[in-house]
Formats: sequence, C-alpha cells, structure tokens
Amino acid sequence: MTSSDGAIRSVLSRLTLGVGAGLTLALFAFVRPPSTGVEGRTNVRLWRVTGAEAEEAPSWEWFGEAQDDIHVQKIGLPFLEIEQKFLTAEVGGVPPDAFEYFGSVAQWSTRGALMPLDGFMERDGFDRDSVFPALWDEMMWNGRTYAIPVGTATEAFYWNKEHFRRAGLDPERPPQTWEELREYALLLTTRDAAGEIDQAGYVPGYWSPNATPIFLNWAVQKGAVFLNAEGTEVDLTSDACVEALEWEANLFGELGRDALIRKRASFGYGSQHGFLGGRLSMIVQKSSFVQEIEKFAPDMEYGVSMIPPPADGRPGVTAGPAWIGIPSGAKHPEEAWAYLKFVTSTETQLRVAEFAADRNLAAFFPANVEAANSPQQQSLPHMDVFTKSMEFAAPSTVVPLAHTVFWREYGNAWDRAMRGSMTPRESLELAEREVQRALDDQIEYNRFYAEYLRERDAPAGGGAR
Amino acid sequence: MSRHASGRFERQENRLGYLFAAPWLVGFFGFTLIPVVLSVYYSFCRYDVLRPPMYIGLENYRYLLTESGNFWKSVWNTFYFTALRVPLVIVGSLLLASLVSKPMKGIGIARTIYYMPSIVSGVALSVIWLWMYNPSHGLINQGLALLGVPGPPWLESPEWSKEAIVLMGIWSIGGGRMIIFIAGLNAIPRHLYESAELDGAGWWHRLVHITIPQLGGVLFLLTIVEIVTCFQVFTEAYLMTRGGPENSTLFYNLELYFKAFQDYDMGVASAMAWMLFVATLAVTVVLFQTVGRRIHYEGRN
Repeated sequence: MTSSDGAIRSVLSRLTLGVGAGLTLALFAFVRPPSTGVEGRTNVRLWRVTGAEAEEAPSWEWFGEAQDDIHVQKIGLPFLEIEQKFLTAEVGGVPPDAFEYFGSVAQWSTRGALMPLDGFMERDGFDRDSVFPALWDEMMWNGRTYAIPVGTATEAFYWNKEHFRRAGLDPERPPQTWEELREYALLLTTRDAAGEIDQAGYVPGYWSPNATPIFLNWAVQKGAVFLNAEGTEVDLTSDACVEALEWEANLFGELGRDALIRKRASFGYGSQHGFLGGRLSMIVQKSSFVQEIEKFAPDMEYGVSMIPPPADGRPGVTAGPAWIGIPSGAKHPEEAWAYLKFVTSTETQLRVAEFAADRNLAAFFPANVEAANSPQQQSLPHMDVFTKSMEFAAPSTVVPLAHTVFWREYGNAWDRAMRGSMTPRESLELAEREVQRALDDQIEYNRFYAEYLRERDAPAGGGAR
Repeated sequence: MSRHASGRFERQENRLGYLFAAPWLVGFFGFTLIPVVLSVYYSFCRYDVLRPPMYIGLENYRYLLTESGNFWKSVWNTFYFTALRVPLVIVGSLLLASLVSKPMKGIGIARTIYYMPSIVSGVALSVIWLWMYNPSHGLINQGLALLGVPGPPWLESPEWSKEAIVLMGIWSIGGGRMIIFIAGLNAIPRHLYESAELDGAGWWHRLVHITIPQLGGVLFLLTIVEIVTCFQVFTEAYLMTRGGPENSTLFYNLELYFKAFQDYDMGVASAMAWMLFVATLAVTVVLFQTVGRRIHYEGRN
C-alpha cells in the first residue's frame, strides 16, 4: 500500500462521514413531527382511549368552535397501551395537557401523576352538585380533587321475558329480592337427560373471567364497608362480605357446581354469549349491555331493572366513572382547565346526550345529572333504570391505594368459594391478608414520597438546617 | 508505508467502526445494560415508576419467599408445567424426527407439513385451542364423547388447566427441535446400525445403545433450551386463563407481569426477575456438571 492510497482512503472516509452526517441531519429534518396546532392558538394535547370515530362526541371540536384562543389536539391511544404510555410520558416529563380515561383515578392521583384541581374549581365556582354525587368519591384523594367525571356506567339486572313466560312467571316482574332471585334461578334452570344444564336460570358471577364487579354489588347491598375511615385497615371479612359470598356460593352449589362450571365455560362472545344466545335467563350486566343486546339479539324480549337486594339489605350498585384530569407537569394547565370546564359543563353534556340519542349509543352516559335526565338521554332504552340506580350507587374503587390487588384477590376469593375449595370466610380471610399487605406497603411508600417532596420543595440552602 | 501512517489509519478505521456501531451501542447501553443493572437496585426498593425508588433492603425477597401465597403457587405451577412438558416435547420431537429423517420420495413435503404448525404465533394458537378446549362444543370433548369418554372442563378446572396448556405443546413438536433432531439422526454413522443389526440387535437395543448415546449432545442442548423456555411460559396463560381457575395456571412470568404492569410494583417484579435468572442459571450449571459431563461428542478425545 502506498501513501497516496492512504490519502485517498482518508479523503474517502471523511467523505463518507460527511455524507453520513448530512443524511442523518436531513432525516431528522424530515421526520420531525408535523405541527398539528392551529396558528395563533395554544395547543392543548388531549389523550384519550381510541374510540370508533362515529361514536365519539367530538367535544374538542365543539370547544374549538366556541372560542378562539385554544386548540385541543385529540390523540387517541389503544386501551391496552394507554396506561403504560401515560406512565412513560409522565415520568419522561412530557405528559399531555389533559388525560381522559376510565378506571381508577386513585392509581394516578395517589402517585402524584395528576394535578389537584381544587384551586381552579374554587376560583371559577365549579358546581359540584351538577355531577352524580356517587362519582366524586373516586375523584378525591387526601381531601383534594384530581379529576372531574365526564361520564359513567353502572350495572343492572337483565332478564329474558320469553324464558319467564315459558316457566310460568310474570314476564313483567323481575325478582325483587335475593331470595326470589334464587327461586327464579332454580325454576328457570332446565336440564337434559344426562343432567347437563340446558337453559341456565342464573349463573353467579358470569360476565367476565373476574367476578369482582358483580360480587361487589352484593356486598354493597349488604352494607359492606371495605376500608376504615382512616384508610388504613381493609375489611373483607365483615358479616356483610361473608354473607354475600355465602349466598352466592350456596346458590352456586344448589344449581349444581360442576354442571354450572361446564355451562359457563361453553358461553363465549357475541351470539355465543349465554344471555344473548338465549341460553341464560337472568344476568347482572353493565348499562352498555343494552347496546350489545340490540346488536346481537335484536329480537329478544328482555327487561331491565335495578339489581334485586337482600331482604334485609338496601338497593345498591357500583358505578365507575369516565373522567378527565390534568397531568402533573402539563405545559398548559390553565388552557387544559378551560377545556375541562367546557366538557363537564351542563351545556356540553346535554349536547353529548343529544349526540348519543341520535346514534343510539350507551357505552357511558353523562355524569352530569341534568344531562343524564334530559329527554334526549332518557329516550335511550332503559335509561330510566340506570339514572335511578345512580341514587344508590357506590364507587367501584373501594381500596384506592391497592385497587388492582384488591380487584384480583377479591376475584380469587370468589373463585375459591364457588368451587368449594375453601369456605367463604376462609377465602375472604386469605384475600384480606394480601390486600392489607399491599395497602400497608403503599401507606409506607406514600409517607416516604411525602417526605421526599418536602425535601425537594424546601427552599435550597435555607438557614435552618 | 510508515509505521506512523498505518497507526493513524487503524485509529481512523476504529473510529469509523465505532461510529457505524454507535446506534447499536446506544441501544445496548441505553436500553439493555443500564436497565438490567438498575433492575438489581430496584429489586431492593419499593418502586412504582411514578415515584422515586424507596430503598427497603431485602424486603421484596423476604416477602416473596416467606409471605406471598401467589409466588410459591406460581413457582409450583411453573415447575409442574416444566416437568410435564419437557419430556413430552423432547420425546415427541424425536419420534417425529425419526419418522421423517429417512430419505424417501416426498419427504421434503412431509417435513414441511410437520413444520408448519410451529409457524403459527402463540396468540393465534391460544385462540384456536381456547375453542378446542371448550367443554361442550370443543373439538376435543366432542371427540372424546364419540368414544364414550366424558371430557373434563379443561381450562375451567384447576385439575386439568395445566395439563391442557402442556398438551398444546404437541402443536409445536414439528418445529425447530425436529429439524435439529433430523440433523443429529443423519449424522449418526450408518455402520453402527449395520453392525448392530448383524449382531441381532432389535430396534429397542439400537435405540438405547446407539441412537440415544450418539444423539447425546443434541438431546442435552434441546432439553436445556426447552427447560429455559418452559420457565418463561406466559402467552398461553395470559390469553386463555389469566392465571385462573383458582390460580392453577398462574405461572411465574404471569405473576411477574401482574406485579409489574398491573400493580406497578416494579421492586417485587425485579426481584422475581432476578430470582428466575438465578434459578435458570443454577439449573443449567447443575445439568452441565452432572449430565453434561457424560455426553459423548463426536470428534472429541
């Protein structure tokens, strides 16, 4: 090799470097995300779960028409990804300006991911009474408000009128108490020659693999209180809880445990669903189930009522909100608040109701009392039952600091009791231990976090050391 | 060419090399090495990503080993699953491989057909088997009913759910393992069989005294890979049972996933991940020290 070779290579390599660097820069210039803002308006980024476009009431567009200063850029994210994306964005210091979601608020508020809204609410005289009172509990943490309910969903009791008629029951009269529900369930269950269930009257816990949502209702009706006032002690072994589980487990046994499990396993989705397929007479389901009935079993004759309570209990049901909040560290909290105020206002919620009524949508109904009771919203089938239920509603997050652990362990407790591998009390004791431990951990972690925040926010170099 | 110049070229080439490798290096350090090292620290902390980690020493390990019911349940489930699945899959693949290892007309097509199921993704596989295991309309129980055998409720029963997921493994016995076995079988010198046959050895003796010893290395490798894969079983349980019924399919990685991405309890999840790593390492080392030493490798003195 000669030195002129070397010189050529050196030039070549420099050239390569230069071209490479140039290309890289050019690439960055081109892949820079296109600006989606509107000139002259502050851009507020709103994250929410992707919905079918035709089923989303476009409040952000209405907001854009209503004023000239703010543009709300809606970003839809898939349900299965939104939590982790929000988590990473929050930790990375680039959260959206507004976050709309359903499910537990506590999961975010207790970990400092949402901004308290009380300052804004007081300043602008936000009317708390405009929203169903049962929904506020979930928005609160340590006496502060971290989100505002925009919608809600609840549960109700559905029955197949044709099945009732065939069994000689009054098709217009659903069971009024637990005892009647039991009687009807036994009456409506038919078996084939081999003893297998042909038509199931009622399948305790049936709707999803985790029976927690339904099981919670029974305990709430018995008056169960899952957490002490200080929020430090979990109570899953109160008489109310144990009796609720015993009632369900006994019914499960009476209907025939193994046959029932086989029957439940044969149910699937859509037209394979037990109730929608006409193979199950009674079910506790979400308010949005109306829509599924209309889609998969439009000819079914069915009724909807409030969930029957125990004779010695009270009507009760759980309700979960869809909510909107402002993430900590949002760049435009003031503008985001303006949007929050707009979406949760009675006018906007009435418009949402109208939008839903025109399209026959029932996934969520307005959290705003006036909008939920408006003629438009009430024109949707069975809305009267759901709005009435809201008077008796309890929050579906009962142990805010250990919500996911509670949800799973409570479901496990149910499963063990139904299969008879443990008595209801033993099973609940086991669940209580797990949830209590998770709660203790979180309380300790919170204390540590509060201390950390105090130190971080203390004036640097303060004399009193 | 002078020494000096050559040194410069080398340095320059090195620089270029690093430059071109830079994207990978950034990825390796930023997304692999640093997180792995940090996860050791997090395993000694309470950490939910949103709040700063709180150091708690060995508490996560103590909790898992002495207090958590789900942890030991998941260890047992995973162990049980591994013990059932490894022999099934290894023996199944070997049998299938010996069936299609002999050169004959159309063998390529036969191998392709047996290989095909293993291309199906775990997700699609789970959904298909969910249907097959349906207690009343499923293919399996309907088939059993034809034979007059009442089928169990499979995934709906704590007694059968793990076995059901193990059985799904037969779907993939024709995959990569079969190919490796075919190569191994074809590498066994023919003359060994010929002389054995002359001595009057039946198929059983040929299998025990020739095939298995000669395949030792391949068998050993595949068994270890299979054990490690079984320790990480996740998809089937996540999609089909979510760990139920009664936590009977709560496998180790599923519990780890719940802790990490449902409860955001990254401390416990990191501790679990490291314990799994240590367990995997221990099993491998023990196998190498015991079984591995006795294996006959062709061409080694």
